[in-house]
Amino acid sequence: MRFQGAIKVIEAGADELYCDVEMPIKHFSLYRGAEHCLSTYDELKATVRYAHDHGVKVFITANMPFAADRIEKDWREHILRCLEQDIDALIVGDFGVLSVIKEINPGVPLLASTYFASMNHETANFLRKLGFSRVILERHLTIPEISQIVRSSQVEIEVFVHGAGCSNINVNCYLFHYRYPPLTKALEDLDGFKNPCTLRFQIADSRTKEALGEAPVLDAFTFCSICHLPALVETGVAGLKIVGRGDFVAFQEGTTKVYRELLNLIAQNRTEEFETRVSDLKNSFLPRPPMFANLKEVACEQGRCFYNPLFHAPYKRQLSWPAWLKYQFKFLEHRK
Amino acid sequence: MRVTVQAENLKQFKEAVLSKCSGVRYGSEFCEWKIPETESLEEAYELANDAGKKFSYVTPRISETSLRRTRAQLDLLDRKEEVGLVFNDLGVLSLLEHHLNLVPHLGRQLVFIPARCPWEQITNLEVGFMARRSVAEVFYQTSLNSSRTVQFYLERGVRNADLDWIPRCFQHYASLRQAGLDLSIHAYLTPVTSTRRCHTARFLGLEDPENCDRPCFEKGFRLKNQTLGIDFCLLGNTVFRYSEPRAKDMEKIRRLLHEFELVVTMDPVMNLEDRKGIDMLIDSLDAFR
Repeated sequence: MRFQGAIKVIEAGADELYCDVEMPIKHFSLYRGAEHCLSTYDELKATVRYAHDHGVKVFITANMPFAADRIEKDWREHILRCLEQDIDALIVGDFGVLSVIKEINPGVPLLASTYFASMNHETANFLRKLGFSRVILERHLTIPEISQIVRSSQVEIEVFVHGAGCSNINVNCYLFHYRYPPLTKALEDLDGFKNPCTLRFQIADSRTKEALGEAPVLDAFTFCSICHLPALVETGVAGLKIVGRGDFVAFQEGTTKVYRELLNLIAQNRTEEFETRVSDLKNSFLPRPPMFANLKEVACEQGRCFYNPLFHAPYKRQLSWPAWLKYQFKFLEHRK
Repeated sequence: MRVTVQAENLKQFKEAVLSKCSGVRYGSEFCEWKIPETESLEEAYELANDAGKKFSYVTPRISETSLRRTRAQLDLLDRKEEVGLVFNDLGVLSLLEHHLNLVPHLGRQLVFIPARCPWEQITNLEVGFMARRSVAEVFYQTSLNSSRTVQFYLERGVRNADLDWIPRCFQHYASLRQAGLDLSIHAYLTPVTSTRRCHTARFLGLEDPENCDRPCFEKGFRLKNQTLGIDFCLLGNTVFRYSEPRAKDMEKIRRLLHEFELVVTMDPVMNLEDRKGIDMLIDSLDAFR
């Protein structure tokens, strides 16, 4: 998130911001490009000052899931520089990084990144013992599971609600998004979401080699959860995360505004107004990278809801019927 | 080099125990819906014990849904002798603090290795030669190549770690041996990505994880994207890259590590179904010596 985005998001009603500064580890932004980072520590300082003036907290992601000795010196310097800017907490996703931070400043509040892939209360409590005050859960959980974790944990819990609902467990996904020209080219041909997991693949049975057609078989990408907000609030989670620090400012601002408005309606028990507003939103054009789009088309009709059943398949309608039927028949025959 | 066979169900496990492998693993590495029934786990342990094979139980990432069953299984195994417990979830590591008879073994989902990325050409950024070299050097390391991270796990009793057959990483694996970790290298299949929204189940139209009839015990898929020129294997909820060990890589890893465990998984892609197949595979790996 850039400074301009931060201002807009704060004006739109965010309580907390998470952002990062371009790391000094030159040329090693393999996982994500650097375009979503604040470009300097001075920009971070200005962001923090603006946020604090408006009662908003700023968290810095120090959460590359990887910290080899070879890059520790750079990491240490980076974290030191971030801490100098009066940030409110660090988001950490690696035990090596955690150790460095504890050495530099044992008192800094820590948030456990989704890179720890926390999916149960044992993990949450384990991370609490290590010094984390909040645990950001992995995306692939159901609302009853989240509720159970909140009830059984002695630490704040945060969940994702909007934006990049990865098809895969984030930390275990090595389909790096950037800096590979053939991938960029392949993604250009796609409609809708342009991630490696949404690519189409030719599928064949591994034993018989029989061709089974072509489909975006890895696409379980989710995007929105406005319908489920009352249930999520009910679980008692401490934070609802909108992913979009790398997206355009209108997306950051528009999405925050929508969620703020809906959360206010929930807080005031204005249930009917909430439902009417959700219904309106679904039929209106909302910012969605890389453009504006109708929420019903991009999310609802494709089933791209964060809290749909786990085995829901957004791509199913794109598979040709003959191929799908043929495969189902073969599969049933095999199981006899 | 010791060869260990990893099986996900009892049918496969019974064949593995009869083979000439030196150790056997039972359980699901990637999918919590495939966690074996507790009765079959007990039977697997007894079979391995009777055959005099080293036994390890493999656990995947665990959600709240599977936590209770996993805890009960750890309680059961804690009463046995010499059981290795491969954990891929920090909650399971936490549970192991109360199961002192189990030997914690770090699973590969908790080890981050950038080089699992199928497009390693991203290291060839349009930058100078020295910068490219520097990126490549980091790219082929693992999250365990941080002495702090290794220390974290050593303090929790972990002495073994699972890694993948990625020859350009081998030199960095060697320093893990020096740091005090015994290494288990998974041959053939390197995980590229894994999900809880099972790709196989969704493709087959299965809707309920609780009632999944585990078609992935018998079905795997090849995925190809021609624009990218990549070829993946889809097994259940996990996508893999397939790479066949070559003689020169085997020589390299033996030279660097001296002693390690090679793990071979019984699955539809490997097409290892019986003792005979396993023994043939072990013979072919031995031929590299």
